[in-house]
Amino acid sequence: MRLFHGLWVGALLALGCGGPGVTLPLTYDLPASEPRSNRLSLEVLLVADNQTQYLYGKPIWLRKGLFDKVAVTGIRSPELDLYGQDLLGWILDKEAGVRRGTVSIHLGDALNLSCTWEMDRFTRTMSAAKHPWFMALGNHDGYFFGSGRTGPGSSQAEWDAGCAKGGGPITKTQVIERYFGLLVAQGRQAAVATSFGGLGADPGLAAFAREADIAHEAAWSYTGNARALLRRVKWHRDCQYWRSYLIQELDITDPVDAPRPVRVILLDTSQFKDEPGLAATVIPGMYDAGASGFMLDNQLDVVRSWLEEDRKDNAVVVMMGHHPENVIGGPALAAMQGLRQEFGVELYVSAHTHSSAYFVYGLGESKQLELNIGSVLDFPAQYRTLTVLQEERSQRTVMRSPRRELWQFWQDGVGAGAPGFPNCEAKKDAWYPPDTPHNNYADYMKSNSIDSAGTERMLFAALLDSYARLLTVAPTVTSTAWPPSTGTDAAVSAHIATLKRPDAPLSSLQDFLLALDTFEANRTVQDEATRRDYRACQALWASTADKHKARIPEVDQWFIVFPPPTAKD
Amino acid sequence: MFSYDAPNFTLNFLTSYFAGEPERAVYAKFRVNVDQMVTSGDFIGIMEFNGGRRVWMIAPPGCSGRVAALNGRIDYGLLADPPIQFALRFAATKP
Repeated sequence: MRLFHGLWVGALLALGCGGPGVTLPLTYDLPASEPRSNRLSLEVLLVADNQTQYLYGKPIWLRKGLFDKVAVTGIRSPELDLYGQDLLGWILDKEAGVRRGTVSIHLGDALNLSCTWEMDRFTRTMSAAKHPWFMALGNHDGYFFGSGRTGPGSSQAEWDAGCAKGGGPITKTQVIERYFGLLVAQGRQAAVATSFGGLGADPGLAAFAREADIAHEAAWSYTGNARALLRRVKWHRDCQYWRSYLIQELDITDPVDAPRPVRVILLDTSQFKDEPGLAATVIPGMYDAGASGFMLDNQLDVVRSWLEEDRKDNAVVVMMGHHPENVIGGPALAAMQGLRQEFGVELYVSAHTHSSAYFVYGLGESKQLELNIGSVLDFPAQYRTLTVLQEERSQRTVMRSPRRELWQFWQDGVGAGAPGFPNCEAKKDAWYPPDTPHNNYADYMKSNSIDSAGTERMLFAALLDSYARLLTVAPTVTSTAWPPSTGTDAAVSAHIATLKRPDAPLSSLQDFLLALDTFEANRTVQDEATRRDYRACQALWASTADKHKARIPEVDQWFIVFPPPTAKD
Repeated sequence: MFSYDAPNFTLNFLTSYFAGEPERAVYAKFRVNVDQMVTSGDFIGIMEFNGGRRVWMIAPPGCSGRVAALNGRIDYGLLADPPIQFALRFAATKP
């Protein structure tokens, strides 16, 4: 997601490239019920913007109370950062699990500061997907704080500090290498996985794992005869990491006798000619990776060649990438929209905004549609599925894409008695934090400090309190990684109390939080379901508070219970 | 796949059927129309599952009537979970 808001949206819309006021012509139907159709594609899961945050680095300039007032995603609620990845984990378990799961496409911003620790944590989160998953990289995947390491408050030293003890920074080129490895790992699993319904094992991934070599090759394509999800991968690793890119083509055609194949091209919209930097939009000729997306000719030329082959196959092609079109830089946008027009790419799917919307772009007489998907982290944590059909009567392409907001979805699921939905409301009295300093999910917003170390101490205190509460809700049965000088939950809680003293060195809080993180990942509890639900509910409540930067009812809140009357009433 | 709610003239998808399936249902291709007569054993359409498997939808025993409505907004992702979703509604008055 972008770190700064508003500066650039108006400017780009003023160029006439899309947005409000561009009307979809009546040749597009917007029916309330499903048109009678033939199905062309698998149903695929679309997720994005989970923003895995490494919390335990050294203080950095960009994470201070005052700065958070102008860059709203500078600091999230500590509980949202601590437990938020459980939301994506829950979605993957529900929609991409062993039973009735499907293929997932992640549209970028898996990381936040872009630290190696975040990539490791993201890899662990994605292990909940039991079917193939693919990813288009976002601006937070390899760029410091999603913007770049130049500009105010941004430097390699700041990046190093933010990722201290977290494996150090991970650049775009390194993220590509790690993702490449994850594709290979999936291919090796797929080669031995039990296949059902053609989803458990993908011949494309298996072939990729056997044949592709990131050290020597720069392109791979599937040459077998079986139906393969992964068709093509093209990558470029550059010592100037902002010029590196990785793009993929997937074949999501499902029925054996589908009238047309359906292909997805995953673009890399975070590829730049010059190094991007924070807030660089105010400097002509420079880019902020958060404010602007870009693609260079070497990537776009490959996309063109893929589209030419897809046209020969009469394929329906959907393009996907992280940045919405209205923030993609001029020449790249013109090239992309030109390709869409020339090759009839009817839909582009993007992320990045953390909200969710359809965008319509006007190109003379023709129009282009974009589906922008929301964040799985920030309120209302959400995801979509996508299926491509073909209307029987007219042969026109039909898109089906239900959207789910977790807070509503969970309430509905619990209300209907469906299994596996966290019942946060039932546990609110027990699990909602007490109204004491550092315990309110939005308490961190009270700080207007210009002192990054002071802000970090406040965030660390909130995290320590969160861990202490977690231990009371889900006590430890066994652990292979107790924090130093502890061996019981009581000892952990006692040490947390000592660390909250104002004179405790910040580095001791950092070290103990890192130990707690390892401890939490390596302990068993009596009631795993309770721990899972507790963590998920903390993330959901924190996301609500984080949205408003306060505890304010959502506009859809049906019921509000007022405080008990006081004596003077 | 179905349970027939005779008092309400509604043919419902059976959640336990879909919960027992390893793959997710993704599309119901109805082959009946509104105002068409349907009786027990009739072919209603095809349920498609991710991965290409298809299962015929057959009107269950006791189900009979003139189709008043087809569910045009099935939440396939939740067919395995309550609440139950309907497939067809029959006209309340049988011809």
